[in-house]
Formats: sequence, C-alpha cells, structure tokens
Amino acid sequence: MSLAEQIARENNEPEWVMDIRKQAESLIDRAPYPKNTFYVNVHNYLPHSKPKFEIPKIDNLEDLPKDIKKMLLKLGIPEFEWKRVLGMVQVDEQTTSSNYLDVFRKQGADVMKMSEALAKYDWLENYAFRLMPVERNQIAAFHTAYWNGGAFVHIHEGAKVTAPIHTYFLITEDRLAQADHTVLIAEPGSEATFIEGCTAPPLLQFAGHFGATEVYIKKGAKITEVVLQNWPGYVHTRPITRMILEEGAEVHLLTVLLGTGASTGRDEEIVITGKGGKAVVESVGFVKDGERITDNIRILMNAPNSSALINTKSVAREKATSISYTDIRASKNASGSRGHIECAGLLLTPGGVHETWPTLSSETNAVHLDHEAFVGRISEEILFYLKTRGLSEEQAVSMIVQGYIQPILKHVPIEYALEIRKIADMVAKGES
Amino acid sequence: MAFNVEDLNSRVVDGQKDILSDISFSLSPGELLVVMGPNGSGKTSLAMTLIGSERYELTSGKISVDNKDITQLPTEERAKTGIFLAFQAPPEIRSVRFQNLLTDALKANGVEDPNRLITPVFERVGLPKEFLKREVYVGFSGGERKRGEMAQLLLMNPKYAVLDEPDTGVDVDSMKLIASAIHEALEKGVGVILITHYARILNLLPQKYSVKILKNGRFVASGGPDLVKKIESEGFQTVGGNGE
Repeated sequence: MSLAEQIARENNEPEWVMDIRKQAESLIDRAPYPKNTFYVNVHNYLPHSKPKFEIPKIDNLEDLPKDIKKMLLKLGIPEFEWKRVLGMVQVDEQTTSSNYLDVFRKQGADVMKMSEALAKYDWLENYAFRLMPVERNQIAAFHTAYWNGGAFVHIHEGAKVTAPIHTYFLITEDRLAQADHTVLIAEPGSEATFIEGCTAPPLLQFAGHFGATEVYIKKGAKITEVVLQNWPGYVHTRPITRMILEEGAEVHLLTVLLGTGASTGRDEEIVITGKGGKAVVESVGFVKDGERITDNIRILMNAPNSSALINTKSVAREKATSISYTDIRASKNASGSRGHIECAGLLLTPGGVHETWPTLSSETNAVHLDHEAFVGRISEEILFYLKTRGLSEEQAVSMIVQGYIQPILKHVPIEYALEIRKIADMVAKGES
Repeated sequence: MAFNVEDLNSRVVDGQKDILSDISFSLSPGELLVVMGPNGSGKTSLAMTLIGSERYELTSGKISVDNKDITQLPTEERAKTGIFLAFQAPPEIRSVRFQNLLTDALKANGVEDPNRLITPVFERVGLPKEFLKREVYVGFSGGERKRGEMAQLLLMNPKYAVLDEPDTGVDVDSMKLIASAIHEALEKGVGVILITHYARILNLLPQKYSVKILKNGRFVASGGPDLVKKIESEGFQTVGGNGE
C-alpha cells in the first residue's frame, strides 16, 4: 500500500479523496519543481507522523495540554494570539477546534476539520483539490498526496460573519512536512474574515510547511484573508493559495511575514471569472540575516471590469534575500479591467538583496495595467532632514519603516496591527 | 542669552579648501539677522554647518546656544538644544505622512500631546489640513514646501532658527504667508537668521534687523535696512569687495 493510500485509509477518507492522493503521489517525481522559488528536496521531509498526544477542544490557547502550552510560552506567542484563537489549532497533523465554532455557526459559517468535512459532504468533490496544480508543480503534488489537517470553512449565502475565523498552525516534530489543506467557500453575498497564524518551536533540525488553501468566492461575496507567519530560522515554507472569484466577488489577501523561516516561497494565484471581480493582494515581509523570501503572485483577469492590485513590501537587514515575482494578466474577455502592481524593498543595511520582477500582460487593448517599484535604502538626505527635527537615526528609520507598512496594516485587526508595529520597530532597530 | 558663533571655519568633508572663513556673529532671542549673498557665496554651507551636517567639518571655531557649547554635538542634539533649520529644498519623504512627521518630531522634543497643536498651525501657513494625510512634501508645490517648513518653525518653537531662502521661487501670496510666519516667530522670541537673495521679503518684515553680506564664505559687510536698499539698487558687486 502506498503512503498516500495508507493516510487515506487511516483517516477513513472517501474513495475519491484517496484517488486524488494516489494520483498526486504518482506525480511527485514527474511534476517540475516550481519556477522562481528556492529549492527544497521534498524527499527529505517526513510526510506523515503518528499523533503523539490527543488535543482537546479549546476556547483559546490557554486550554491546550501543558506540554504544548509550555512550548508556546517559550516561543513567545504574542498575548493577542493566546486570547484570540477563535477557530482551530493544528499541532503537527492533529487539529483541534474551539468552542467558538458555535458562534460562527450562529452567524452562518460552518468551520470544521477538513477530514470531517470530506466525510460529511459528498459535494465537496466539486471543490476540494480542484485548484491544485499537481501536474505542473512538485510541491502541489507532494501536498495533495500527503496533506494532513487543515480546516473547511463554509460561509452560507448572505451570512455576515463578524468574528474573525482564526486558525493556528504549529509544528513540533522534527523533519515534519506539515501540509494542512484548507478549503474556504463563500456563498453569494456572504462576508467573512479568515486569519491564519503559524509557528514552530526552536527545537527542531528542520521542518517544512507545505500548506495549501483553496478559496471559492461566489457572486458578490467579500472575503478578507490575513496570513501571519512567524517561523523560526530552520523552517522552509512553500504555501500555495488558489482562488476563484465570481461576478462582483472581492478578496483582500494580506500576508505578514514576521519570521520568514529559512526560506519562504509563497505561490498565490487568483482567477477572476465573473465581471466586476476585485482582488487585492498585499504583503509585508521582514527579512533578517540569511533568510530568503520569494513571492510568486499572479492575478488573472478573465472577465470584464475586473480589478487587480498587488502590493508587496519587504524590509531587509544584513544578508537577507527578498525576491518578488508579480504578474497581472488580462485575457481577451477582460475589457474595462484595471490592474496595478506596486513593489517596494527597503534595505536597512548593506549586504541584502532585493529584486522585483513585475509582469503585466493583456490580450485586449481595453484595459489599463501599470506598475511601480522601488528598491533601496533610506537616503542620507532624508535621514539628515529628520535629524534636524530632533529625531535620532534610530527614531528616523523606525518612523519610515512604520510609515512604509501603515497602508497594509489598516486592514488588519487592531491587536494584530499593534503587535506587528512592535516587531517592525525591533527590525528597524536591529533588535530582532 | 544668545546664539554665538565665533571664528567659524568649515569645509566639506575631505575638501581641500575652507568654504566658510572667520564667521562670527551673535544673535539674541527675538532678533532678526539677515544673511545675503550672491549664488555660491556659501549661504547654504553656513546653514548646514550651524546645524551640524556630517558633510561639513569645522576646522576651527565655536558655536554656542545660551552659553552651552554645541560645537561637537550631532545634528539631532543641536535640534533639541533649540536650533531649527528651514530647508531651502526639503526632501520628499515617501511613506511618511506629514502628520506623523510632525507628531514624532514634537514628541522627540518633549511635547506631550502634539496632535491638537498641528492642524491650526498648518492652516495658519495656508496649507489645507488634508495635506497632513499626504506623504511628506510628495506632490507639494514649491510654495507649499516653503510653507511646510514655516509650519514646522512655528510648531517646533525653537530658540533660534536658520531659514535657508524661504522666499525663493514663491508667489506673492506664499511670500506674505511666509513673512507673516517669520514675524510671528520673532514675536514669540525666536532669534531668526534669514538667508536670502532678495530684499522683497524684508519689506514685509519689521524694519529692525541687521544684515551681513556673505561672499566667498566670508562676511564682507554689515549694516541695516539701508545696506539692503543699496544692494537692491546696485547689486552685490559694489559691496565689500569679493571676500578673497
């Protein structure tokens, strides 16, 4: 029995899920490694682990078993996260859910473990794994073959979910490839905010996070997704996000990389299939010595009057590398659409590398696409000007870094924004 | 109580030749000292040397504020001692909003609740308060930039201010607003060094000031409003030789 089949059987998954796993497994060594991302050898990772402990249903991280709690405390998980895990926690491959799920249910959203959802809803066959590019991308094939855990979020027609749906991922096992699979379906006219936090303790040799999220936003629905990553220096992450937007649907996808791990290679693709669909992808990454980020962000506009905005920012210290590949395409169906790419890289010290590679393409002349980019350090002239106002160099740099991330933070819940500001300040001062 | 400069000589770092030579003056609170000179005479170098730009080094001399020696202090410490510089061409600072610049600067100078002060002063110099939400000087006209500097002069409330050509390239309306801001600062007791090419702005200020003419980095003549009238009619050529 292949490993993919074994996992499917252990989880009592429906046949169709097992088939998808097996097919993906057969592609792992045939699918090409994704372009424009630092290499990781997926065969070095444990694709599957036996649960070490049971984790109970919780209200917040306080309720976790002692061992895990101790570890989280050591990690310095910010207080706001302790209090606000309003959804699910995944430790390695195990998922627990909080009593908050009832609150979401009352507001019109079902939030459950992915495995539970697959057992419960046959119709998920029309959604789950449909957007995974298994034939074209080795990471996607590996993920789809051996995924474990993750959440299913279903927001019912017209529901306005006010409490942010929060999931949290934690890796505790050495060499584990955590590959959570999340599916989010926003039915017509619904609205919700989805928050994903990630980290791992400082005890491992190395680990991988190969999670994937598939998002379907139907007619007129509005989704905000916030991803907060705070990985320690030995974790390699290759998250995959795929989204489909129908007519008038809107998404705001916001990623904040506080700790990028050894390397981060985000791979995000949004396809606008209905007229007037609107996608905004923003990210800010703080990169330190030796860390490497590649962003691959694509928005495909395949309907009239679509709108696409990509805005990536990075703040780098010492020998950090940050490369951003951004791509907005307008098909021949996209007349009246607009697209804008903005990339900025601030290098606070010498020795770092920042590259931006924006691509714009259109198959019709009835669109407007543009981009602007900036890479560099803070000019001596500006620092001097700020010093004449009584600010020290440290205060001046901090003010500029704070200003730099401000437009992105206005879409983040306030407690998060405050915490991110604190970390930004530490990066500006070289304390992190 | 005075801003004292004694026998100041300075040069551009790694430069061969002094750019400023034997500069001395004393400025009391509420006093206006006008420094005039042709292009390239060292006016901006004087402003930069006084505020402690790292691009200039002193070869000799002493700068003190109210008996405190600030000759060796870095720029930000000079600013906190109460020296303000209005830039001739202030830089655009992308990503920082004007409001945040002013708030942080006032806080760094010990003002506890700066926000309530900012809007009235901004409007006082003829800048709409919406500009506070804009990035610093991005998309500002020449006159608006100069008035932005004047707003900071009034907000920072320094002991002494060096204004580097606040009147260059501005229209009549801006000129009036700028002169009025300088007037207000003087009345509040700020000692002002006004660096300018032209007599125009002086006609809008109280006719009680001293003038020094800078040529080739040296003060070559001193006087009052009469000296300005002479320069206005005859140019800088006939006044005080060439400073060599």
